[in-house]
Amino acid sequence: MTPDVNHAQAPRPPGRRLRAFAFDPILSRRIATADINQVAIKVPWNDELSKGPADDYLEVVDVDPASGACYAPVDLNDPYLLAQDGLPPSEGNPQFHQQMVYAVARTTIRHFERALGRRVLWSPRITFDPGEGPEDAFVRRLRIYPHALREANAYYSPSKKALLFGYFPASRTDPGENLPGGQVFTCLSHDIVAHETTHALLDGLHRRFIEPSNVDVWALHEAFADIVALFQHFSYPEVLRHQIARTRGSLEQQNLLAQLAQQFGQAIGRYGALRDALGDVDEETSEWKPREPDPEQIIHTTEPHARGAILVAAIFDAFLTIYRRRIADLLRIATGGTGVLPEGQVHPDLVDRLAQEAAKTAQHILHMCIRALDYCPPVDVNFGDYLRALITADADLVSDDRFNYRLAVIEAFRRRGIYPLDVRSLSEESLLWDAPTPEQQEAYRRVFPGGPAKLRQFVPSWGLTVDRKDIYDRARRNQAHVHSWFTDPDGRDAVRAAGLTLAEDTPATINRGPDGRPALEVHSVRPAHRVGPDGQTLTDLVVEITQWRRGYYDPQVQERADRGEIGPPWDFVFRGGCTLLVSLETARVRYCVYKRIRSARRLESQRRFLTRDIDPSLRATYLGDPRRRYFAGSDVEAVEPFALLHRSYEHQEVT
Amino acid sequence: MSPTMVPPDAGVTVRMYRPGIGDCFLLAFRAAGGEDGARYMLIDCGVLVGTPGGADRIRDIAEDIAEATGGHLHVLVATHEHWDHLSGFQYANGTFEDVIIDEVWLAWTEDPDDEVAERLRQKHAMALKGLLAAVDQLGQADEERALAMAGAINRVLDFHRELGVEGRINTTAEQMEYVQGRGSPPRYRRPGEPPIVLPDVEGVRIYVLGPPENEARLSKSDPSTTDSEVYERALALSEANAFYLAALAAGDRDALLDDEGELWERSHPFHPPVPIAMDEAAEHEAHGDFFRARYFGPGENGEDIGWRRIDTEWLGAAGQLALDLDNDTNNTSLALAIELTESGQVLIFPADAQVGNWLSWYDVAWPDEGDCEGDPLTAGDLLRRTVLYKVGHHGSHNATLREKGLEMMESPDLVAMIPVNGDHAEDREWAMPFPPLFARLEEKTKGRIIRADTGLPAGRPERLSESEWESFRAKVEEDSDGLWIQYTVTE
Repeated sequence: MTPDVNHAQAPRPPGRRLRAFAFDPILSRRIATADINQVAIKVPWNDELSKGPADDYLEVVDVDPASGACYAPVDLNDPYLLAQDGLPPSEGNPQFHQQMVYAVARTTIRHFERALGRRVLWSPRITFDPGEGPEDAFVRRLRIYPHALREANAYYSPSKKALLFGYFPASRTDPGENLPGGQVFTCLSHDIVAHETTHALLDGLHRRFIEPSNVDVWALHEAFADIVALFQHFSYPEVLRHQIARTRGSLEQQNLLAQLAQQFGQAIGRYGALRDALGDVDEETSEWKPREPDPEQIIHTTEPHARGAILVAAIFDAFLTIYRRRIADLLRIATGGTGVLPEGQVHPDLVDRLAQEAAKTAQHILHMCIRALDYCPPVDVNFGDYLRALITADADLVSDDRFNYRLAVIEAFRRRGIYPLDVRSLSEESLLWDAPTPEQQEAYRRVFPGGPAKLRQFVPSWGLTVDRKDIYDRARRNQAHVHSWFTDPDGRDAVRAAGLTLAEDTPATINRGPDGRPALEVHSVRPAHRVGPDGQTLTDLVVEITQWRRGYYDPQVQERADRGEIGPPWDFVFRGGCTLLVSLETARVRYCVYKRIRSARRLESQRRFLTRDIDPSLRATYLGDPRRRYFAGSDVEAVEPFALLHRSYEHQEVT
Repeated sequence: MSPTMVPPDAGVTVRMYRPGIGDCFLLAFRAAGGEDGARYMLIDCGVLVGTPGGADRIRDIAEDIAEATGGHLHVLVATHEHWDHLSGFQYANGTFEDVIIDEVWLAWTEDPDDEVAERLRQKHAMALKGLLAAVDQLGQADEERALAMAGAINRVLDFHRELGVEGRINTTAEQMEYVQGRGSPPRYRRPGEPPIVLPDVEGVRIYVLGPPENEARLSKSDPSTTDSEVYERALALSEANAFYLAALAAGDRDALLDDEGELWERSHPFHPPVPIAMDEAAEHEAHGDFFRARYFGPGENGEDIGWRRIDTEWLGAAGQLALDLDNDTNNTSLALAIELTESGQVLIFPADAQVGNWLSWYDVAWPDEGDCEGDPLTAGDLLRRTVLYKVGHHGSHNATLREKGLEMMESPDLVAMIPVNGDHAEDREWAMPFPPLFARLEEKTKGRIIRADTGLPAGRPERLSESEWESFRAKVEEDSDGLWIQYTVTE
């Protein structure tokens, strides 16, 4: 605890800084930027920070079962540490590892909260009481184990609500440098920590995004985690300043940033797919060249990391385009219109400005990608949905898109063959989610009784002073309210408008409630912020409702089950649902993003995905296809999708 | 006894035994010199651990081999150290003891005098030891998931060992040792060596395609083995070894050998006085409270926090490592191409060779066997003329290379033999044969696939004409007891 200070005299600091490695320490031995491999990460000030470190969101518990050891927790409130931005970077001191992992995870959380305008919650823990259904329990802190595994791996465990980081001997990555006994710690890689934390954050927001119902789902999880890690890394100007200063010649050479992106996870080999997606060193000229996007590539790329990398490359492409636009005037000024710099070093002021522009753009992109999450369907999400979510979310926030961020994103996606299935064109207007028709709007009006005033009562404060458990409890009560509205007879039309079904004459495979009608689960009720046309901050209510249905691999079995001839168990779970964005000003539903539970096409799609594209790897031969096993395992067995995903990618075979 | 398996006048008969999931192929060649004699070559004899009635069946098979060959095998080939290729020599040891064996052929990776081979052996031995320890630890854990993982990994390790009576573990090493002992001495074959001619057999040449002498091809999963400087001793601190040592230490710290113990110390990420022993952490003077509240329990409010412990999570790496070991062992397969010189027809027996092994075939050539234009004979040439393909690894995907493998086989007479049992594979939840591979095989062979479990296709395959089907069936013979099915390639 903080020493006894008279708080009345001293103002509370907004934050504190904690030192961390900017690049993987092993890598920094090799690349020329080794001079600056340190970053001071700003984290919010917390009076409750305790040993571990631990605060309201995270707890670092340094237990290393493989070595049979535990490592003493660091106390970041020690005055000596407070005075000097925490411990100095050190590979040999586990307490520095604890500090770094806390700092990077905490700052990732902060980006999320800033982008979403509300506090984040971890996904609840699901337990089964004998004889009853699943129960959700609030999980306050995400646990972080910096030295959990003895392998070149790290993963988020949804069942333990924990991040597990591995370590391994250095000889694997440094055959030429011969560092006997040296270890590589994945917890010291800024990008890996941010990546894993993001998996946890996404899981907290969209629990169903772990379910492999189509080829994009796991790829999106991986891509999103990479995007956050990458752009968070770029948002440190000091990192970029150094690289930009080394530029010679034409500053149009944006390869620099892409090359930088490639280097981030290189030591661990974790960003292999991203590396390939961005570019490569030309064997003949020894120059790094960006990879030309191939719109066909996405058609035959099914492995989650490789597929995700295409999405990441698209976002990165958009980032570069926007960055180029933002610095165009600077370049004109600096080069007198020629685009070529004079001989000698780049002027430090120019370097500074360029670095700041890059950092700013990175932060914008980061926030854009995070905000899009509130505009996604609750289940069976795909890349096309995510694109529409990106565009709609950004349109809701920025009306004056001076640098054409949205256009850049659309273009970049188009170049890589990422299209939503059912839009008329790739124009911004077409990509926005559909607004309800007047009839549908009328139906929604009936289901939200009491109009805007009543609705506003349902927006609990998700602000920084409210305890997160209170937020959780409040949200669950609100979910119950919304449930009662939609199951009320007045809600019938709204249910239909939202793509759900409560009718009795629906396939028997749709999960029923105790009253024999199809069950609705109000998955989430939460606030989202946007900016109105006059620049005022407005709030929407995001409501997610889902349903589920038993799925069978054999279409004939499915038919019989739909008719009610066959009961549980099932081969896979098929889900439907909707995300409603409700304006708290007017109680009107602005957008409805839906996936119909009765869609035969979607059901068949998921069936085909799980049965046809058989994983040919040795792992799948012996240990089973992870996607099918996901549905086959009971929740009690707690399948770990990320452990599997990350391990099997490392050992990909090429035939 | 007199031999009962009769070879064709010119050509070779290939008898596929049907033990379950396992390889056992008996080849019969005509002996030259006018006598009605035959020369016999046995390629592997094994059945997978846990096959119901497997041991008895392989004993029946061994007896049939003895009868068929008149108690005299001219060549015994043991392709690699996996249970489903070698267990017959253990289960039916008595029968094999009574059989005369002229020559034993093994891959160079079995040569005790070869440095690289010795290093590989030590590496694999360490891997197996570590994996068995890891599975043991998993099996003792309290969590359902750990037990399920242990079960799955155990099934992969079934290729290497069997849990015998009274806790004894029988391994493939012992079986290979027996086979080595029957050679006087064994011949260790290397890829690219001059084609082998069997004594008294005319018109047959045997080419050795693999295993590769290039270590990178042998073991794709651990590039550090290629750097001999780092690898001063066979036991170096690699990622895999750091895991194995931890698994061994978790079981019994004192059982570690001296150099293992030293490496175990070095494998720790932090050194004394930093680490706090895990079994002392809860009582630690300064931090006991912290570790009790956050890890060992009870939690701050007395709640159960045990569900967040990660005591056995790290053992999960064993799954991939077991697959790596399986892959590496498969890649040490002795891969042979048998050429009938008059017609140029080729039979390919790749054992369980996987990607690295197959690709390495293109690194070897036989300049002296080349064509009239002076081009050397290559693996590609041999593949192009292949008329019989013994499908690798029971039809799993990885053991049949696509572009530079199956797709190179252009003969319109191509026949495939798959030593698989679909039911047994399904019991273990293994995808064998791999459906897309099987479909492609059907296309390439026009339906001429002989499976150990189901034999011939039930009816004439669509792609074969009546006469083609009849002529194919005429070359196939099946044993009434279901012990074998054979196919004859005639010159």
